[in-house]
Amino acid sequence: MIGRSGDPGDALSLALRARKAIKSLMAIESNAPTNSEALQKAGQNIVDTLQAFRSNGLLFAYLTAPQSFCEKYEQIQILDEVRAEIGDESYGAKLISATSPDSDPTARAANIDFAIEFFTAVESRALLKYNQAPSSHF
Amino acid sequence: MPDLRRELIQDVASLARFIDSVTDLCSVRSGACVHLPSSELFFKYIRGLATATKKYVAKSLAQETRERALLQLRREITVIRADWRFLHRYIKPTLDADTLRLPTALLDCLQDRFRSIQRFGSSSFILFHSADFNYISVRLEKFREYADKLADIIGEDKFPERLAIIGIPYSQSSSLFMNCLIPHELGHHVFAHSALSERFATQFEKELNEYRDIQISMRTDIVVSFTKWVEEIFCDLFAVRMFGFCFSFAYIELFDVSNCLDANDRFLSRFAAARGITNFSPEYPPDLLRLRQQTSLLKTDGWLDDVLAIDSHYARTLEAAAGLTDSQFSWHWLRKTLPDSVDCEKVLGCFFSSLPKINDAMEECTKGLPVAYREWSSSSKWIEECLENGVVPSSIRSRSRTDPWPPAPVSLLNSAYRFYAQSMPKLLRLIEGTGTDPVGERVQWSQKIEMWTSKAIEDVLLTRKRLA
Repeated sequence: MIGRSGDPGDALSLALRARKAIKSLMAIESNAPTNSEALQKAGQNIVDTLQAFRSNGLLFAYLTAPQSFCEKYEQIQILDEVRAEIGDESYGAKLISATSPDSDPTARAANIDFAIEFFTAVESRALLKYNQAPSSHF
Repeated sequence: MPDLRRELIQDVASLARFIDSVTDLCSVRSGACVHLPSSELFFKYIRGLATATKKYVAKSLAQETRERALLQLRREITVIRADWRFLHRYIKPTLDADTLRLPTALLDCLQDRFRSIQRFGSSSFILFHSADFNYISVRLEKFREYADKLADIIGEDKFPERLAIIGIPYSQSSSLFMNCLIPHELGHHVFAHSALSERFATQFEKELNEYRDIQISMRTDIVVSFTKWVEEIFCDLFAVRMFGFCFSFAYIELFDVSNCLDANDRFLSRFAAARGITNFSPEYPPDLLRLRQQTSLLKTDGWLDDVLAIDSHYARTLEAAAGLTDSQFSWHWLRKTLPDSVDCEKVLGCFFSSLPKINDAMEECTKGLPVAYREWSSSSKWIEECLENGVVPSSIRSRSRTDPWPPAPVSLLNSAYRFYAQSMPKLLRLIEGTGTDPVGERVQWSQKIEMWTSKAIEDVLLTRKRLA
């Protein structure tokens, strides 16, 4: 089910996706094999989704796209919180550069660090939300 | 100076112990319990995922030397542990649902019919016991999602596509009639695997985008609610196509929808609104709208005239639902929250105009599944005659056929439900000593009807298997 749900599991789902992206980026750094097409789609999907979110545009085409990074409104909110916290307006260009195999290699190497930082922040924030949900408390 | 690798050895070992504690029950089980083959597959998958997770983490630790990578591994352990905490909640309820605590005859019938749909020819179900009084499948699609995401990270196989996971209330394992609601849950499985959510949500968002005064978060809420309502109605229609009117009767019985009628079977519209059965909630469409849509499919499939002729308040509730118009349903939340400039009825109209498309989607998804009406209409009289005389209707005779023949399981279900709703007094009249405790006797003999019907379904399926 796509859309808005408030299910804490959705935050965990986002954390798992962020972890997968981090693994792919680290694999690129160490020249290990990875699914670069999936990573590229994820980067583009994040940038497009956040752009639509910030401009009050249509979201569901992005939420429902194959291999979309977010499937729920709350997940986009987490991404947007991280974007605002990082406070770097060129985040979109950097994410696309880091996740695209066609980018300039030097710029890409620098942007991979940024992207790992971005996804790590997404993962941490998503895990925080998951752990703070009533059903997750001890 | 802390030794990162040594610390990570501790963390990896801790994670391995945690996973073992979650999955041990899948390996060490009481010999007295037997589970469905599909549940065994589930346990096998869990054990495999556990082994693969442990191997993956240990291998990552052994291979990595870079400090940065080791720190990332530590974070990865956190996510993996969180995922296993999530998967944990599904294991015990599935273990609880052994074959002694499941309506196995009905499940066999359901599986038999479900597999006649072209796309789901090799599907199986895993059942688990829910503590909530709810038949659940959506939450279990989550299990698949989280298992798959973990599998993706550790490079393991995904959860088998052909397994559907359904939750039933733990108390209802022996109730044949209430479990006629189960095909609705299968509908959720079909809905999720047909990308229908995506199709409807995208369409709703486009239509609602015309209303520029609706903010993005509110628009998203409305789209999500509309899509959830579509899914519920789709699942109801799917269940009616699978099982016939016994699904609608079980629905009316479980949710006491028939109390919207007065003593003369007139529809109590104000009471219905006060009870909420004509109101939308963010998660569910109104009960009476759901029943209205079911009657429309019952009509298409040929059942409706026979159903409305049943002398029962369940049938009269369906008749009342069939007569309701769109304007008799409302969504208070929408009225309260929409800006004054937006016409609430027009917004809700977007949902109502999607109703025919839900039927189309259901037709598309049930290709290959024969409508059960014709077989029922030719055998129900004889099945009910058996029940009336306390005979298990495993094979029936009619005056036009000399040889006895086994009725279809879905015919058995619908005939038994009709008998239970309409003809119990006929049976009770034949039982010596009855007439002193009408409620107690009805309870006792309704259970017998369920047992005879279950036995007949088992016999019929067994005969079919033997012949095959």
